[in-house]
Amino acid sequence: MIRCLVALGVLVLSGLAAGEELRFCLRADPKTFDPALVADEYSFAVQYLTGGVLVRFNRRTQAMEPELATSWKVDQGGRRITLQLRQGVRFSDGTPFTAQDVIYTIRRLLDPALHSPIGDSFRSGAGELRAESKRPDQVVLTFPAPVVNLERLLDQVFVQSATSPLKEKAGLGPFVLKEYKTGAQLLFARNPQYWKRDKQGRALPYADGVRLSIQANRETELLRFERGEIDLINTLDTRLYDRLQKEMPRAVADLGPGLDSEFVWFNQAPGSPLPAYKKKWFTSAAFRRAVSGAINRADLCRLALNGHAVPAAGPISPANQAWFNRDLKPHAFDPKGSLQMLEKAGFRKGPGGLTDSEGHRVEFSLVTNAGNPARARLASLLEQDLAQLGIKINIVTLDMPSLLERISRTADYEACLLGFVNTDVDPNGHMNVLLSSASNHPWNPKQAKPATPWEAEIDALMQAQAGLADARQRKAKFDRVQRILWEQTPIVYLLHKNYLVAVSPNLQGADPRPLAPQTYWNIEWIAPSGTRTISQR
Amino acid sequence: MKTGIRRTALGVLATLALAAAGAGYLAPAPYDRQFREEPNAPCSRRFPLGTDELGRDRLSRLLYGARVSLLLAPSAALLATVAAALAGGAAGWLGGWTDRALMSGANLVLAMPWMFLLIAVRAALPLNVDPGVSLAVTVVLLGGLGWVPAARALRAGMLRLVRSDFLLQARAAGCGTARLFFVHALPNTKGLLAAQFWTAVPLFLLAEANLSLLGLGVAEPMPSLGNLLRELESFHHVRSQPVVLAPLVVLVALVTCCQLAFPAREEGMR
Amino acid sequence: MDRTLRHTDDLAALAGATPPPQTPLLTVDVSVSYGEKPVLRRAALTVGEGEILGLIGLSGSGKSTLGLAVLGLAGLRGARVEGRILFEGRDLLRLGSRELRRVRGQQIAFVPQSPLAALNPALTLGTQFREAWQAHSSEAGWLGRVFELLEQVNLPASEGFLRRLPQELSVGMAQRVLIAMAVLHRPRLLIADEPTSALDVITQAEIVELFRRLNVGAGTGVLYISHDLVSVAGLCHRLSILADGEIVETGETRRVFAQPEHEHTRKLVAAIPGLGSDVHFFGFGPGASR
Repeated sequence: MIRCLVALGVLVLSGLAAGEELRFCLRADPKTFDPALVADEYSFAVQYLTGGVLVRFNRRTQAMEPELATSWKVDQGGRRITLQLRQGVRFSDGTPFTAQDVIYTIRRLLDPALHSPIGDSFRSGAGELRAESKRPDQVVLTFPAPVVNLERLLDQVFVQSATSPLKEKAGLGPFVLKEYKTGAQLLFARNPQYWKRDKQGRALPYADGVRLSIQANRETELLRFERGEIDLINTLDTRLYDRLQKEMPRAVADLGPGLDSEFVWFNQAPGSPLPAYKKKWFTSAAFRRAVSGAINRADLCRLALNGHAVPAAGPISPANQAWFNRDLKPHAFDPKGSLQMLEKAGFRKGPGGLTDSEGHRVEFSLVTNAGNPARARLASLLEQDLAQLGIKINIVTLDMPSLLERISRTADYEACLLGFVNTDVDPNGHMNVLLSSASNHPWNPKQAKPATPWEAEIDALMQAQAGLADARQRKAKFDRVQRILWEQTPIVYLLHKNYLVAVSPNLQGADPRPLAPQTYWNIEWIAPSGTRTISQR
Repeated sequence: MKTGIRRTALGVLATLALAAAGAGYLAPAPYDRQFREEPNAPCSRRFPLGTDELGRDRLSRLLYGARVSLLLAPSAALLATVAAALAGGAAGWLGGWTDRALMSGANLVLAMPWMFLLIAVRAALPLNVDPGVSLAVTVVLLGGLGWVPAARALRAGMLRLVRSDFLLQARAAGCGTARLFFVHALPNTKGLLAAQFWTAVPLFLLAEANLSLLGLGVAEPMPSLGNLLRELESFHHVRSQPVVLAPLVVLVALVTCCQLAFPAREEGMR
Repeated sequence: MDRTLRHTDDLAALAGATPPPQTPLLTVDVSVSYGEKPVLRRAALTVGEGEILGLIGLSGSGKSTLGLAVLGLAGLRGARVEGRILFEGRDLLRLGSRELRRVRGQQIAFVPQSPLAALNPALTLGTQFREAWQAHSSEAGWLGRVFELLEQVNLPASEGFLRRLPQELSVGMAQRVLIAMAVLHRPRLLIADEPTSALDVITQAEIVELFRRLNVGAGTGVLYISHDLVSVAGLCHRLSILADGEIVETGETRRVFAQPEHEHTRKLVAAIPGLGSDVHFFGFGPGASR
């Protein structure tokens, strides 16, 4: 009988809470609920709502801020971090948060048997992690080798309880998972134990709950937004953005360039099945630089992405305030200059198009993946731009697996148009692309030793910056890397797409930024309706 | 009345075919010319059907696209229909193990993971393919993919024919097997084959658009009715610029007029 | 019983004297089965040169199968034929398919039951005549022969007519076309499988008359298959009665009507309604036709 009444009470409460829910869509089900195993953005979203971190990367200021650690200090060249822990914090099930939990979490991440993707970033060298806790409010972690940007990595580490009977289900985040229907939705309730309070001393989060619907179709997502069924859309494509802008101009926001980039590169792999003369073009910096200069990047941004993009100078977007090399400007659109550059390199432009010094017509295929309309438009624009130089491009769209097979295994392609999705602001995030030994080194992967002096220099610079603790020294090295890429143009960077989001005007406290998770990075401060008075920090 | 409709349909067909054939003269601009200052332009005297997202003249693209598609889809449909006539016809005509072998072959074709096969075909082709070769490959692929339903229909029709009185009569008149099949039986499947052909044409027009997603078929920037139809993907786009429906109108007109101008003789298959 | 007797007396009175057949043109003695099911058991009959033999049986008695067996086409319907079919001294059952094809249409021709269904709806009459001609002859001049025949069967002997499609013909016209087509190569034997059953009474009489003229004029032997005693009474020289897969009785038309010997024949004769003066017998034999 009592149980019945309790159930009724819960029903009544949840009914009341519905108006205070924050609602948005995930495009797919989260793959895991284990904070140590998160690898996809949907699992990350769940952890972001339910988990607590020691320090947070503020998406607005791009600075590290205290969360469960009130202060921290990195020393020994990045090997050791001393964390001062917040007191009186409890997990969602009431278990007190202690130094043991931090140690347990890091140990678990580093456990080779767990294969934690997050743990990989911490595994800098052979040896054991040393974890000490001399005082209950302090933890000292000593890694066997320096870990670059140690405190930034902690933004991804959701602290688990070492002792809670609920294990990873006990969280330190603003919400707790209440219900999960596979393929349909995830329901979260506010975590009554959450430690954060606003200036008036009101317990956060402001929202009573979060409802995440699984919705793969973007058109449907937009429709639901228009009907007021959801409050946020994290990434809109340009077409949907422009449509929504006409209908609900107050609800859309162009957050400016994100970290992602679109680019073209030429196959320089010596083992590729291309004819020798084509290899000669593609390994010529003058050729690549000329191609880059013949591309009207402003047109690309304007026509392929409806103006929601900025021309790119290199891999690092201007949105990445700390690491972008401000001295570099995108290669200017200068077809005449490009032609002169090509002529100097022995190419001739005749009525039949551009030919190289041996008389071969300059013609190559540009592969790209199917099903990306913006990229298809980019390809068509490139085709026309290069036709001005007398270069003929054959556009070939391939399904993603075939494309990857060609670019990473058989090297049977000439030029490729693709984009990278970047979530990490740190230069180390580019290691797997820039190192000549990397399997994702696009133009010539898995080199035993660098094929060119400039690739060798990039390798050296990237490794050197990774070993430095001082941010300014690292920046100097990484600026040089960006400069080399700009000069050698192994990758013709085209543009950085802007992040386009939709936020319901009914939300208070939303502060969308072009870094994931764009619209809800400050979710505990977002209030679903105007009924509460809010004082943001 | 009937001949009037037929004449009109023939007239429309002839006009479309002429317009497509004369695209080089009629089109105001080359199909790949990008008027970059005027993307998504509305209809105007300069751009009668407006421009697409890249500022390309829609009318020109439609004319060239119709030309490509008018070459491609009917050739592929013809290939599929001929294959269906031979396979389905032989299966129904000969019966027995030939029938079983041919029909399990057809089932196999249907059951095959075509996606992977097409990907394999694309992998086997060089990346720089001459547009003509690419079109020919597309015709063969579409024909090779599309003959099975028609073959099944034809087999059923042929089974009925084999039992028909007039074939018995032709045998009784002493006609040889080859003559019986080609002169007496096949003409009676004309209606059926025509119906199969005309169902295949629009299907292939659309299938071609999907093939280009796999790097086969007609590649950007060359237009085809199929890839022009992709502009219709967004309903909102259609609402704001109904002129994007033009390729669909042309497609429907083509198929309808073909059926009106060359009606499938129903009495052919009784 | 009384009634039956009276009828047969009348018939006997009407039937003319029929001389016995001369040289046999076709001698059949076959057993036919569909799978395990026997249809004909040692069915034996003979068609003499220039003779019209009526093969009478109820539907399902296997008479059409026998017709097809003579043409070597019973196998198409899944039948197995054993025994012998002697045509001009050759056993058709022993012939290869190529030789058999030469017999079909050239020496033995077939007139079917449903004329409209037996003409190819997709081909013009001209094409069908040409096909029938070219099946056995590479000579030119087929058009003249076709016109000659069309006139004989009272159809317009014009090219316009040959451009027509079968669906533009009446049933009666279609049957005349088929008869003309059947006699294109001056066959020695015609097999007519209920050629009048789809026709109205007047057309029936015309077609029957046509057969008579062909028989008299060209001396063509006819195996005339029918379920209807009355329609054959005036045409056939002799009758063979088929019942339960066996030929139960064979004899001159007049005799069969007057003195049916077998029980089944008696029933057939007795079943003829209102036997009267409209039934008259074709009272002379093949000998008289010359």
